[in-house]
Amino acid sequence: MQFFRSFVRALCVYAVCSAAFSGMAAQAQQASTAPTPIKITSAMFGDIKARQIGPAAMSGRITAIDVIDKKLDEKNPKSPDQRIIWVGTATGGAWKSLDNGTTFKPVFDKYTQSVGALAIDQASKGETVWIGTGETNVRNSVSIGDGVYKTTDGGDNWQRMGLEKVERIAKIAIHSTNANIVYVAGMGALWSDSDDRGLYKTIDGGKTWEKILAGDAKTGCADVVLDPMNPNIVYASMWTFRRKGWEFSSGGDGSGFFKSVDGGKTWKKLGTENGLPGGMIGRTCIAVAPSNNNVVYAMVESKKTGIYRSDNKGETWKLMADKVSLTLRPFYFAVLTVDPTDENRVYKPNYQLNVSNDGGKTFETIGNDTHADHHALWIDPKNPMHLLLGTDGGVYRSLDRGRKWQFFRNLPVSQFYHVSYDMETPYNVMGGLQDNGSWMAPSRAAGALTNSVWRSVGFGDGFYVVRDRLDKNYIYFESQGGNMIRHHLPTGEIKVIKPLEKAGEPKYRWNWNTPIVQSPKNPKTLYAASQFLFRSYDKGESWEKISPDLTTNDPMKQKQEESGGVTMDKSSAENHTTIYAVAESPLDEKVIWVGTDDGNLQVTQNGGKTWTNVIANVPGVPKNTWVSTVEASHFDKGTAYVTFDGHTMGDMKTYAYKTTDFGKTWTAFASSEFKSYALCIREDLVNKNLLFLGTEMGLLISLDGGQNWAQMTANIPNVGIRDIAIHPREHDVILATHGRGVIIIDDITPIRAITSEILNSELAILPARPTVQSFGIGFQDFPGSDEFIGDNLSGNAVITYFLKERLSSGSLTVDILNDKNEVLTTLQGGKRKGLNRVQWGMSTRPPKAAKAESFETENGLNGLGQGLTAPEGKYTVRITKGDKTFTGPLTLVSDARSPYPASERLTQYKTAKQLYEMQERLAYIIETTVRTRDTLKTRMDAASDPAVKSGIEATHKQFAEFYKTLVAGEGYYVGVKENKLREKLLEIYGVVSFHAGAPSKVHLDNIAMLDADLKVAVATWEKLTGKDLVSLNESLKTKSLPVVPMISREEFFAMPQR
Amino acid sequence: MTFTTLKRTALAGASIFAFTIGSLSAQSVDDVVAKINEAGGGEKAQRAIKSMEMQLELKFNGGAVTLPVKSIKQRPAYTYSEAVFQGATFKDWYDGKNGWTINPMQGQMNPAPKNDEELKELEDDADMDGPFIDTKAKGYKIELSGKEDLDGEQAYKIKVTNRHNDVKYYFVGADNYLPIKVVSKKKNKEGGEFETETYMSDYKKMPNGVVIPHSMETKMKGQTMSTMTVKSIVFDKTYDVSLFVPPAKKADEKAEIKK
Repeated sequence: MQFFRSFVRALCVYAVCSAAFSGMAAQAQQASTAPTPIKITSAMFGDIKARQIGPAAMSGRITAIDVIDKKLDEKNPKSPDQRIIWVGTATGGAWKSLDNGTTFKPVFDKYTQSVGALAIDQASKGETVWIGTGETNVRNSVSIGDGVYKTTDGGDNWQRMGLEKVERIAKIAIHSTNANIVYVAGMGALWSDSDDRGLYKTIDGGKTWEKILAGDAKTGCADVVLDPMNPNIVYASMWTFRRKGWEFSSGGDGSGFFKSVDGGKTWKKLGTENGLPGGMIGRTCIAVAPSNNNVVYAMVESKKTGIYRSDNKGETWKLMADKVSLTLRPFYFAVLTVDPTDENRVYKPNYQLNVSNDGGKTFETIGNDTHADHHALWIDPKNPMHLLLGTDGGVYRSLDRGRKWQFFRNLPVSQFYHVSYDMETPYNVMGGLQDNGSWMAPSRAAGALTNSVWRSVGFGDGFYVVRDRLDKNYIYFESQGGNMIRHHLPTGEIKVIKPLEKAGEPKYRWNWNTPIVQSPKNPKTLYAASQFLFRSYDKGESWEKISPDLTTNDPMKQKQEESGGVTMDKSSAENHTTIYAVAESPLDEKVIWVGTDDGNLQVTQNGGKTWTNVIANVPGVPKNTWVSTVEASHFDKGTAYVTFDGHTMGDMKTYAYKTTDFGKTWTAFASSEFKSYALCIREDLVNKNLLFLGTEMGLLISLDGGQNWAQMTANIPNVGIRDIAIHPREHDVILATHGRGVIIIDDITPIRAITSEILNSELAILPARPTVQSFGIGFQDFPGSDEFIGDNLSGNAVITYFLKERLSSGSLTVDILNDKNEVLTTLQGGKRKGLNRVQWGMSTRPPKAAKAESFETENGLNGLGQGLTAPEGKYTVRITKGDKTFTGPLTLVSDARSPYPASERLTQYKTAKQLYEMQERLAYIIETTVRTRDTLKTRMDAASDPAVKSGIEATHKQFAEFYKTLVAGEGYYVGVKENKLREKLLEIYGVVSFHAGAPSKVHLDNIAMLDADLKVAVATWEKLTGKDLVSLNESLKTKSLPVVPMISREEFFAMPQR
Repeated sequence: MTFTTLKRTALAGASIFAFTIGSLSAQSVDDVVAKINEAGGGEKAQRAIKSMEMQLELKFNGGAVTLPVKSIKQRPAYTYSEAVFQGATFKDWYDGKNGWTINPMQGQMNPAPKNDEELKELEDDADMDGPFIDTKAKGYKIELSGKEDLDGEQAYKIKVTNRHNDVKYYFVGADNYLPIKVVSKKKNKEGGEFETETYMSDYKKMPNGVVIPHSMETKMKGQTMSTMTVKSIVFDKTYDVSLFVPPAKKADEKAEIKK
């Protein structure tokens, strides 16, 4: 029934789309005994759908792009092509577009979100796609992979095809004539030695793999390219590389350029004798010209880093160019692409895009309108004017070979480091992103959460963003390496507030991701941290150093000038022996916790006068493991939680601990659900046993103080959860994901209430925050199809209940009752095992309607289909499951921002109700008039006796004329007919219903006039149906003809339709 | 097939999904299909249905909009449905080949012919037995994708591809072989896909032996778009085939009435 779709679209105009929440102080609950274990599962939370609000305004790092053209009608060679685009991202999964990039959908959410390589098997018509997980742009913030995956149905189903321990995959190359032969460049572990790396080959579609080119424990395969005309010729590069928390190293003895002419059975290492550079070699990327397989290009990192070219299939090489713009950061920009039709036009995506038209001799930098830092480039083989470019800030399309670019504003793969909120209504979320500055946006909108609701509030790589609670005109943000800035939001003016070294002090060491923290207790206090902790009481105008060096101050980890290996690379990303986590107790501002990137955990109980390093008390965590968060408890000042992240030492285990005695003793959390390293932990503000743990592979939750954990997968992919905030007024959990933007779990009140008793009950209705009734609407916007729209908050009241077992047979209904115990509506309830959610539109059914000619009225805006908005107050939810009933409360409150007092809202309700009743009175009159008119017409046509016929005709005419005064004629859009009484009532009903306050005098006068008109109509109807029809029926009776029937009001209202 | 009877009347929407292939059961797809048919009351009972008239209640927007829907099907492939809202009636006719619609919301008050995309949908809708009976003859391809966790319980995932190459994934309870959920991926002519997710429950055995879900919930991106409840079902009435085509010269009659 296609019509329902358009139907709902039309109704959206009237829908009350948003809700706001009045201040609700979080009531802390203190339990004196150890919590009862509460066993939970991921599936239990399934009907709670977190909102992915994006944004895609700035997108995130792109690692791979592949494209296929597919005949729309495979049987018809003349059929046009459908262009399908696949995009792999650094930490936001894989996305597929079926419409040449206008819209995308994620197709890899259940798996590792870090994509290193992606390849479409072109011969499979696009159904077979390979994904190699683990990004190989191995910057400090890179994620990890867990093998190679394959779909054979365009992404509906995936199978992991092995290589699980190969942490990163740089490239997948599919044999051009035998798709079962696939080469995988396994770069392997970044942070540790590993033998699971090298060039792998399968000849059976991934069932088995052979390592055909092995490096050593430090050397992986960085690229593999097949000759386009002779797939037995294989080019590969090996790369020795290693990252540590404090340094990066590119290059080593294992690095080099290799060629095989027998499909990888034997290899020849190419070197100085072939014209390639000697000495220490770093990362090499390779490209063969599709139009001439003799021509091979390579970018070789070495003492003579540059673009090299071979004209004889790699046998001899010549250095062509070594401009700075080509050779920056070879470890990070490792792509070369040759135009498919011109062997001499070669692109080098780098910090910016470089192109040569003379075979590599000279290069020009083009297309500076895109985000910098380029990692993927696809050139349309049918039209080389058309390029797709993957950058640190998303995908761009050029239709003029790279001069001008369009941005794909539909890939919400933004990489947040932190998230915070303010107390506006709706509250704003804000945070900083990898290479994409700092942004803020409302958590919901009356219209849609489009990219345009996001505001850029900071630059550089973004991290902490703090809105000053005392003066909301200011936010604090930073760029990489502790460059802290105070931003005056109304004017956009900024002031750098970074603490600077004083005479005699050592150089301050600022982490890439430097903490800026506003005190939860005293909003005047701002903290910032290098190796020292600083405190400011004056918005960063002055800083007091309140600690000694709290790190290990290990000089071996402070040689960032030497970082990079073959090519120096100092970006502050390797700054180490710094403070990374700062937490002040919400209960006592003198208690401050500090965690460092080199594994110190320090606490002061006197505002920084003295510090105690308690790391030695934490059992089981390897020395020098990075402290990723400290969370000071909201319930007890001696209690804190800490997470450690050992991945930069190759340790992927989940470390999370709790202390209740200021760090003297610690309890480790453990669970079979722990799958990856811990990034952050948060304690709920209300239920002290409710904990949230962010890991590199998703969000975990515990309801019993950390004894049992489950992954919360409710629309939250296996993405890195870098930060978690809990809004104290609205009870939302806000996630900073590094790859999928901001995700909000709305109203955790029901989750807070879950106990083991509830989980053992057949059915339990869980409490919810009061639902705010908002009358705000979205207006007009036609952005096209190509813009990402974030999930918005439903304006409906949400009822949450737990069901122990899935209900396969038997009904489950949800009644909403008012304070008089009247059932306002009956909804169908979900029947899944675990938490179910039902939404109530907070209104009655629309007024009973009679037959009508048109849905539209002259002035457009009308109240058709609009029920009476349920007044604010207390309601009861009653769930009926079989013969059992369960009840719970539901509260509706008015929008605190609304300027109308309760008395006005009551007047509004009463007036709307009056109009509702007037419409129903009129509906009965219309229905009986139509029915009588139509019956009379039938009788008139059938009558043979001229006297009878003319008698009926006269009455019919009266009814037909009367009807025309009640209902406008048929019409649509520009053909809408003049309003009659029905339409006039619909319009004023709309005017009154869509406004939260009292109707104005203009409206009331109009209603009084229509009330008089209705009275006249009723009188006319009474005359017609009483006197005229009665006398006609009597005359029919005398001729033994059937009388014209009349339905009663009760019969009319018993009909199901509205 | 009776399990699928309701789904087309529910609202369609887009959904985002990617599933793990679970460990494949030793069971063959034929075994699972046989058990689905058995759970549905048996192939014989299903084939014996001549016609079916359902009164349904369709709700949108948290119950703020509720429509009564009447849906009639008759073999071999006739359907008629109507829904009334605020005095106007939406109608769909299908005679096995051609279809028509009245859509007052779009100002379409006289029957307009259905386009071929809509006809594809009606063709599925009119198939009384669904994909699991006479599968090959009707051009369906059925594959067992695996057995996997669905909302904490095991379910068979069955891929059903119809002759127009539209794909539906049926998730069938591993315990009772009743469909729990259908994910429909409908392709448009330009190759785009439109996904809906429909949950079925409240299964009831009817006097003729068939088992029919009396409750349906259609979701888009995990959010409920509509719910549908079966109010009553009448089997095997004989309908004149004129019911499944719009009345002729309706426009003229209407003009006449207005005079």
